[in-house]
Amino acid sequence: MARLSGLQKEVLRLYRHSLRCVRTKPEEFRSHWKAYVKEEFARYDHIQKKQFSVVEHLIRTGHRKLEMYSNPNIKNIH
Amino acid sequence: MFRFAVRSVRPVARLPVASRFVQPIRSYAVAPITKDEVIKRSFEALKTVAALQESEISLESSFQKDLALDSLDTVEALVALEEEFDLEIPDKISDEIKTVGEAVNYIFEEEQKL
Repeated sequence: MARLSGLQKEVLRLYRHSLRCVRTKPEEFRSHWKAYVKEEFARYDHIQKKQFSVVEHLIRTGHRKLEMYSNPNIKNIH
Repeated sequence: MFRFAVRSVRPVARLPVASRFVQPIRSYAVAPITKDEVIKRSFEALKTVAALQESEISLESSFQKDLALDSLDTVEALVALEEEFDLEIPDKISDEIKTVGEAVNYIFEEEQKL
């Protein structure tokens, strides 16, 4: 595997934390959450690794979304 | 009516002094996990990952070279393992894990520490 840049590692970190967060949700909705996380990441997979500011922006908004959805009162997603 | 109430608050017979100092024998609910078991459970957990359902998994397989996962799928596979063994692999170590065997070794060592 090619060495990953710091920014790429950040993306993987966000993905890892998001997937871990899925585990805190009620079991019956976990598949929805997982699909949602994958979809959100897949949506931007065409972005080149040199587009630093775009990636940085997405990581930032991603963390904010993760924080918001981590709320235990949010149980399901469509 | 009151008779019943009185009877019910009567103190329970005390344990004889000797038995109150009996040392409890410590017993373990589960035997420490063996490496084979870690391997077996890991493979099963990895089979649940969508991208790995059809793949031939062995300890030597590299997630990206042999199993043809991209970096996101690799993360997903590792999270599946974390879930199976109820632990969290720190980000730094997770970034370094390239093969199934490395992941199994890490999990096995962590389980020994418990």
